[in-house]
Amino acid sequence: MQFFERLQFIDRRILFLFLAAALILPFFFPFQQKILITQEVKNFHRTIDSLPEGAVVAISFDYGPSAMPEINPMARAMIEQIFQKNLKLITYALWQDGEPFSIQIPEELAKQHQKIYGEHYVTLGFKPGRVAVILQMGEDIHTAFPMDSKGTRISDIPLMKNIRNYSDLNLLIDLAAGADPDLYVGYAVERYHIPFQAGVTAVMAANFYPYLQTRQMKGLLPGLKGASEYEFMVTQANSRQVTQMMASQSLVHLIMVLFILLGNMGYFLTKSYKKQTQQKGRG
Amino acid sequence: MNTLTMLAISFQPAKVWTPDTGFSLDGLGIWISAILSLFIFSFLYKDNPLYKFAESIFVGVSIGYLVGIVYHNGIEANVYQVMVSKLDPATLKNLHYFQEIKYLIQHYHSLDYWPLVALVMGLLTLSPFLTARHAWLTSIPFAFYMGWGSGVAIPANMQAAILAQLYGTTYAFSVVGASLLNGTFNLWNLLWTFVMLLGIVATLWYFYFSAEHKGWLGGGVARLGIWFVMVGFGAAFGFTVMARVSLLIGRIEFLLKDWLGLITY
Repeated sequence: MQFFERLQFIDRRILFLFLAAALILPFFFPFQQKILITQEVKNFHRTIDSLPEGAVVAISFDYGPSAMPEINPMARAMIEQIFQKNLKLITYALWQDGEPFSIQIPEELAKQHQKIYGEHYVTLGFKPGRVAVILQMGEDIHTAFPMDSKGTRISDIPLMKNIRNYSDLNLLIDLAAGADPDLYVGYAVERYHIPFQAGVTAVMAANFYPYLQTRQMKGLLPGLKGASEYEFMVTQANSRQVTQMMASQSLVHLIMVLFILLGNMGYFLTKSYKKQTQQKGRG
Repeated sequence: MNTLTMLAISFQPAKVWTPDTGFSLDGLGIWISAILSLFIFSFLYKDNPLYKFAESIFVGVSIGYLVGIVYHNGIEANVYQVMVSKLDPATLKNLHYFQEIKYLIQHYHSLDYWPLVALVMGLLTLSPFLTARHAWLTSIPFAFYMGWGSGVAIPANMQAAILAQLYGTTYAFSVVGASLLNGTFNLWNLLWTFVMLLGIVATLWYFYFSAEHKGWLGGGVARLGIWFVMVGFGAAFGFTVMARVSLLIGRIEFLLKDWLGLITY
């Protein structure tokens, strides 16, 4: 009986060791998993795919380095799709930590696709104020972001000359580690009726599903799983990085489920054993 | 060749200095980042000074970065640049500190002073930290902010979170109704629409505290409401676990790939 009691009190450091093994091993012995693409990811891809050539997409980078593993693969695949479709791209950040990503990722991919800064894409950098910035962009983007990330007045940038507010954008995307999509839905979608979708960390994803049914969001990429599905749709194959990350993710989930089952088994068996012993004692 | 031999061959840690390229700032950054990551992971065993050291560095760097970027992208871009927007940018760019101040004084009539109102309002929020006698000044910007914030947030949230969701709930039934008429009826859609309605009614009833939840109907519906709430919590918790594991995977990948060079893509 002691064995079942012990199952309920396994030292957390033993659990950490199992998790570490489950997490590290797939990096050296990778295995491919079948990618089942969910409806919200299909919708996300379709929304960008259906835009006409030259349409303008704005992406808000609202996450920090801690959310990099989940959001960066989404950002790369998204900008890849945007450049493949010859769409125009505007990036900016409402989180101060998001600014480096909003500049580095487009610049890296622009080189591969031979896109020119100022004509095909612009990086506006970080702006403090969140709600105030979202609202001000609805009136005049040039007031919200007088200068781009390089210090150039945006009125001097060819791509920005004819873009004044949300009505000049074809799609708005938020890459978020927090509740920023709530702000966009409340202040940009409802007020200015701009098509909107989001890529978010898994921890926030459950909060945004209600917006899909009401069409306040066109599509949603939830966490690393959403990133892997979307990357597969854009490139027709997953990168080795995402494949290995998903393999680790699945193995860790299996280990966790196993330990939860063991703990519960220990709890119920101990309880039933004690009950039986008490009944025998009374008898 | 066994796995250990392969690992030994592929082991190529990030280099801070090489005879060919000399000192590498990127390499140094990777080493600092890796060592601080290990310090943070040491908390898994127990709290210790190395963890505290890394934690303090993280807080300090974050605040320093925030102050710098808010000054550059907020105050400089939205206050100073807006004030001087009517002046020639090329001339301003070539001037240094005192020359720039002199130039601005000479052209004071061309400056836009409205951003100063926002700047002063912002500075007033700091008044309690400067002098206790003038701490009351902070209520001016906060009154403005609360008034503006409530005015903007209440209708927006009412529309986005309540009215639009009510519409979404009823819209689901109209979709099922339309599918009956145009011959695309699907039994699953009807079933899930009813489950959604049941979930909304039961959860709302559970949070309705003006009537006692008793009897087979009142108590039963409230209990069903708890079940729906629990399923919601379960989904949110599952997503949370997935998110945290993803972050850990990202860090381990950094240590194995960028730092130790054990894996390559």
